[in-house]
Amino acid sequence: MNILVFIKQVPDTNEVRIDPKTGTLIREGVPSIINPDDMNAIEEALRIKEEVGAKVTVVTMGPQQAEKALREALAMGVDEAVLLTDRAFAGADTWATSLVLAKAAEKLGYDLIFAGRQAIDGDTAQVGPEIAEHLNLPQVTYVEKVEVLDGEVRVRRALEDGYETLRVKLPCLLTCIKELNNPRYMNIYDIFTCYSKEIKVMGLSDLELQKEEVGLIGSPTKVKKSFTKGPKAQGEKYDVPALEAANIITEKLKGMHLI
Amino acid sequence: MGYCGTKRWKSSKVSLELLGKAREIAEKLDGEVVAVLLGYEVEKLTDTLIHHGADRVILIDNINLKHYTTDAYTKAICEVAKEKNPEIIFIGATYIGRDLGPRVAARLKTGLTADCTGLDVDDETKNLLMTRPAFGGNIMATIECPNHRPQMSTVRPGVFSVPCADYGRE
Repeated sequence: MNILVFIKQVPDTNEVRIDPKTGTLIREGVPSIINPDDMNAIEEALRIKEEVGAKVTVVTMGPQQAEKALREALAMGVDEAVLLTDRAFAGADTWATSLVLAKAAEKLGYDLIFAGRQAIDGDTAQVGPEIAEHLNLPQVTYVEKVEVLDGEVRVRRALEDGYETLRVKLPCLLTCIKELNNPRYMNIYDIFTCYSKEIKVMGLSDLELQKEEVGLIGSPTKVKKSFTKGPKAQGEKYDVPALEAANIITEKLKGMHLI
Repeated sequence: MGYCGTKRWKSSKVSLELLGKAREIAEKLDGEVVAVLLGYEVEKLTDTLIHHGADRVILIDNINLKHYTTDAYTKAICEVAKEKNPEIIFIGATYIGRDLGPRVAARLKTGLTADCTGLDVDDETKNLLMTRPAFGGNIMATIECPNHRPQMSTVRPGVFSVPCADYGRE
């Protein structure tokens, strides 16, 4: 069984700072991580590999430095890594991104595709379902449990007020949430070998795509402007010991009928 | 100019919130609000939709829509969209809405802006201006979808308020 896992390298949002003058993100010196939901996707693919046997390929689209995220996935134990990189891919929205990823999936072949539910930088949760649509595959989003059966998977999908259990024929695409599993750490052996493994690089021509279909040009949506939220109102400042501060807080919350 | 707010088999609150906002946008664009109601034996909900701001309701009542499935709901909504060519489609950003929205957008080959917290119309271009948080709310971005139609967005429950019902509306 061929399992593809789509991952994204994202800035560690706890560390994100915004330039107060320009309102843009300060990316310099911000550490990058594999998007948390994608870690669950990798883990689930590896778990299935151990249980029933599979080849796990991790795929990302991004600039050259996204290679680091792929090496990390290799160090967790995935078999192969593919980097989709091309200047033409830059500035892509979810539609253009999913098109590139879907094309890559077609080239690589698959029985099962995992993606994270959403990335912590964009929070859109759109790329997974859009890949599924481009590939004309069934999808299940918000997956919190996966069982591989003969030619199909039984998955549990989270809803606001409960869950539903679905049976889906392979091939299909599943998007994972953190309730699915606990991602493993990289292991010593694979950390040592991950740098000697080859990362397959694919660009526009390898995917047989046209420049007009991808990146900023191929994106239906455009960012008109970005800005930071201003403070809603003037705050009150207290310079008091902890105990007194606690009292002030509880009084305030009581005053607002919140507690 | 047509507008769609999509609805599911149970009349969720976010759909009513969307109707209020859709009404506001429709007035700015001199268009109408069309609610799309999908489900099975849900005809009684049509009045609620009208009362909360829909000019018309397209009802697709079918046993295959009793429970949400990505395939059936996407197909139904895309069929409606292809026939009616709406300017804008709003979908509630529930778990189901976030499953459905991108699928519909990809099939209609158009853009989708997720989890909008602000919706307005550009005075000049008449494009929908969709404002949404990113980076865990640290930054806000206003997105537009200038050359593709419909313009699509999902909206989180509780972002807009439910409009007062006008029970005289027909």
